[in-house]
Amino acid sequence: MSENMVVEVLAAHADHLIDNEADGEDYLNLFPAHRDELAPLLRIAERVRAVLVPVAPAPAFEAGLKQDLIAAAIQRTEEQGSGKRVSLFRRRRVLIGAAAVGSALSVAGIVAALLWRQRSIARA
Amino acid sequence: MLADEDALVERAKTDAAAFGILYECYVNKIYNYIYYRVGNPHDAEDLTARTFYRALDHIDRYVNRGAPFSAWLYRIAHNLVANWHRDQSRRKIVSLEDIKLRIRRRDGPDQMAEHQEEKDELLTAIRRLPDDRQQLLILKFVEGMSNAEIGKVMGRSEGAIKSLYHRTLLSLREMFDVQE
Repeated sequence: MSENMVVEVLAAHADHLIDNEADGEDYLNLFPAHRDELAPLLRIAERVRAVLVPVAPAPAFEAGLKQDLIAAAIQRTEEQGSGKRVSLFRRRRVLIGAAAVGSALSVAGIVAALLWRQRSIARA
Repeated sequence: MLADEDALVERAKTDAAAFGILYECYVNKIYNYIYYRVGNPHDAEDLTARTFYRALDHIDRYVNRGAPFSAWLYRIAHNLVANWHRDQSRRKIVSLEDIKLRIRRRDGPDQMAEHQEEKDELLTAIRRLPDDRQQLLILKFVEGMSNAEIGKVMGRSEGAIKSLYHRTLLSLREMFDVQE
């Protein structure tokens, strides 16, 4: 049997196993000449299926973790909000500072211009 | 996968209640995955909690690249499980659950103990498989996902998943041939 065919048979068998419909014997009867090759693989798949059953976390754990996560998510959102507020406040302070420096430079420029003018008049 | 999963994930970036809904949807899947990777409920709970805390910390950086949201969660869980295995191999601690199993085996009726032993052997063999093969078996048999769905979670084609399943069964058969 080609490898591709084995792959497809195992995939189909697994799909039926999940739906609790598979019987390895059905597949072996379909390919009697390949019984020796297929049988151990189908058997091991059925054993794996029997062992890997869904489990559920303890309800107390599940509920407790949800509560903690939601509390952490709320705190995170609040921190992000206050972070934004802080950055807006900082931006406003920088703007006020820049405006103050600009005003001071303008006044100094006017004073310098007046002094220069006075000196020029005195020299004349 | 949820119908409005994308919208829910977007909301969960700023809305705690939406994150709670995502948690409800995926906590069982993530717990199952971790439980079968680590083999005891205590560490499974611890790693499940860490998975969701990490998801909460990083959800604003999450970008949908075509895979379901669960693929992102499984990746977080996978990384935590890998770290856990690294730590365990350093510490070499025998878990309480292992001790309980041994005691149960000794105390129980022969047939039950034998059956339990077979189950434990198979689970041990599964845990010896490479990570991707373990993940495939868990998603297929515990979660009941189709090969196409598993492919989306693991970032592989459906054909690649079928081949991986074939190789996984061959490995298990080999392990049991050696053991038997």
